[in-house]
Amino acid sequence: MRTLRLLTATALVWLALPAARAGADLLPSRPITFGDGRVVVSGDVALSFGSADVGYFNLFDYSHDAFNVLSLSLSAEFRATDRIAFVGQVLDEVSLRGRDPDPSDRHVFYPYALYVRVRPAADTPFTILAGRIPPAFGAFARRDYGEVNALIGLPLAYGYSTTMRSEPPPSRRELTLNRGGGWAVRYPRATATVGPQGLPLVSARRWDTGVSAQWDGSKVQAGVAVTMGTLSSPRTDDDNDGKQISGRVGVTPTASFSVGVSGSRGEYLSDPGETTEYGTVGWLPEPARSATHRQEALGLDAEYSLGHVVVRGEVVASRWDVPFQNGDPTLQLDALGSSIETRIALSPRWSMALRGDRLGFSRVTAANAAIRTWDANVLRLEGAVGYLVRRNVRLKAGYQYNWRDGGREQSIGLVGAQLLYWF
Amino acid sequence: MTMPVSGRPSFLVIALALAVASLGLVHAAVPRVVATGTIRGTVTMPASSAGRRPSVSRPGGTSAADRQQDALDRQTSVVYLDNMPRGMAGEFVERKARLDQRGQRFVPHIVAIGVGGTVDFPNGDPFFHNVFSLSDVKSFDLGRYATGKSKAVRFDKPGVVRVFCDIHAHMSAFVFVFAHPYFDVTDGQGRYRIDGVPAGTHALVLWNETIEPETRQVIVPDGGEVEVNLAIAAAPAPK
Repeated sequence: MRTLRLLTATALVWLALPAARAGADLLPSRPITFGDGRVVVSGDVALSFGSADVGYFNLFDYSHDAFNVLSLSLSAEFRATDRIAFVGQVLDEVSLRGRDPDPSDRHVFYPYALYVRVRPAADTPFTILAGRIPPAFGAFARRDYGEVNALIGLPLAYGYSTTMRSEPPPSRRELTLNRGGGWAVRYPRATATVGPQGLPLVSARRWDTGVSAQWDGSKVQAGVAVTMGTLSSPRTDDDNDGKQISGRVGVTPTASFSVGVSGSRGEYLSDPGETTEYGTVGWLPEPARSATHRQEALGLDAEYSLGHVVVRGEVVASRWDVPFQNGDPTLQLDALGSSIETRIALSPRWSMALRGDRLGFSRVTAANAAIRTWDANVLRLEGAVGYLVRRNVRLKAGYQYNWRDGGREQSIGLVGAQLLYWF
Repeated sequence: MTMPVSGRPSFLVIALALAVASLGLVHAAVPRVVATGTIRGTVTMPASSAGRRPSVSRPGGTSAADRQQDALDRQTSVVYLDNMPRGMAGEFVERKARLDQRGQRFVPHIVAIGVGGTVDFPNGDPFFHNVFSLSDVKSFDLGRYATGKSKAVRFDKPGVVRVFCDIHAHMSAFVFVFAHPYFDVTDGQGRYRIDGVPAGTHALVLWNETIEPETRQVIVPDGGEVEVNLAIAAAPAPK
């Protein structure tokens, strides 16, 4: 691990050195093209390093910690014709510190986006995407590269692992025993030593597979998608017995203000009998076995900007139908994620950003007969200062404080820095 | 004139510049006739099409027209005299220029003005842009502003200023600020023309964003024209 950190520090210096010398473009500063412009390749490198998150508030896919990860992304677009293009993006991520339940997860390489884009008419902003596609829901996961994240952590609704799993819990008691333990949801809690990460409300790090149609007008934007998985559990193949339909309508009445509403509905439970690394997905007794179990979500997002200030807010409400393997009645479990953030440009090079974030859960009767939320509520405040070393190299330093009303660590403050380079 | 892109002049350089400028002012006070000529020609470049960054998050992609315009922008060049010709200090070169933000691009891609000149940055798109520069020659951030609004920046030091949009990462433009009037930006056919150049031998510089600047010696005849056609040998991969 020490060697890894040394390598990381070396990479940081390597990235910063050419940036510090004006005119010394050792790294590309804009996309590289081949084949007379038909193939365009671009990339990002994000190196985040910070305090050890022993409460696992920032764990996303593969148990990687947003404050301690080296992420390399490569995007390519092949323009077959003026109306048809193939777009792909792969991610290569190395965990620098944190929970590593499986050493093979420390370094992962996976396709993030892979789709064909068809534009039926050249002069209208209507496109059809098919493959591994961006979600037609919310704002954060679809935000464009330059603005992806002014901070280091992800919004709770898009990254925090709840105790929800894509398989039915053994009992209501087992569900509530896991409160605040979404980084490893273990069944049975008393004896199991490992378990998979729980699901976020919306996965920002994995996109779903399917087809979408998008209208991207200047005043009105609309999109609808049919995909294999759901917002919280995107899939590449349909192993959850149903498709998800999702959509968003956004309006931009003035250039300074935009607002969008989103909705989604899809079946999220894995097929019974499927074998995972944590065991076999349990079979459900009737009538739950024949019933459909969905994730339904509603979203509201808004953005206001003027001068040197941008303010964004987003609310995601999610509901899961949760059946139990022991025949407990199916529950509808709700979660509400809300965040508001602002980014202020202080000068051409300096900026600062703040985000307030809350994730709350509906109440159920817990194992000890008390009425409690089914997962532990989380509150987060995060601030960061950004410095633009050059156009495509940004350095961020930030502080994040988390509170949680359950789980192993109930509050923690984290300090971190991130170096971001893109071309 | 070597176009500075970074660094600060030393005290010695400033003192020297002031001394030269004062000599020039004395010179300018005395009426005199300087024989001049014209440098003109064409800059040619192999067809290339440097692309925009693929956006996997936004569904629209780019149109064929966008890509054509990107390629034309890459071919735009600036031709200028490297140094202020001897005895020509004090020439009035201040100019006003306009860099539109239209169709998610700066139009034109390159403008050239004199020291003290101003560039207007009107937003012609139905959404926000945010023009900024990190250049040592002129660093600024105009913030986000909407359709129909315009903001202006005055440039007081000679050099090359690269301009970007904070919202649309593929947008960029160049502002050239000269301390003399002997420069031109090529048109759509690659043509340029510099009039009123004092007769004699000068260092002519070709600047294009895809190559390092190239310099060649040019002899300008008294009262005549010299045609200097310049070729950009190859368009390397964009840096």
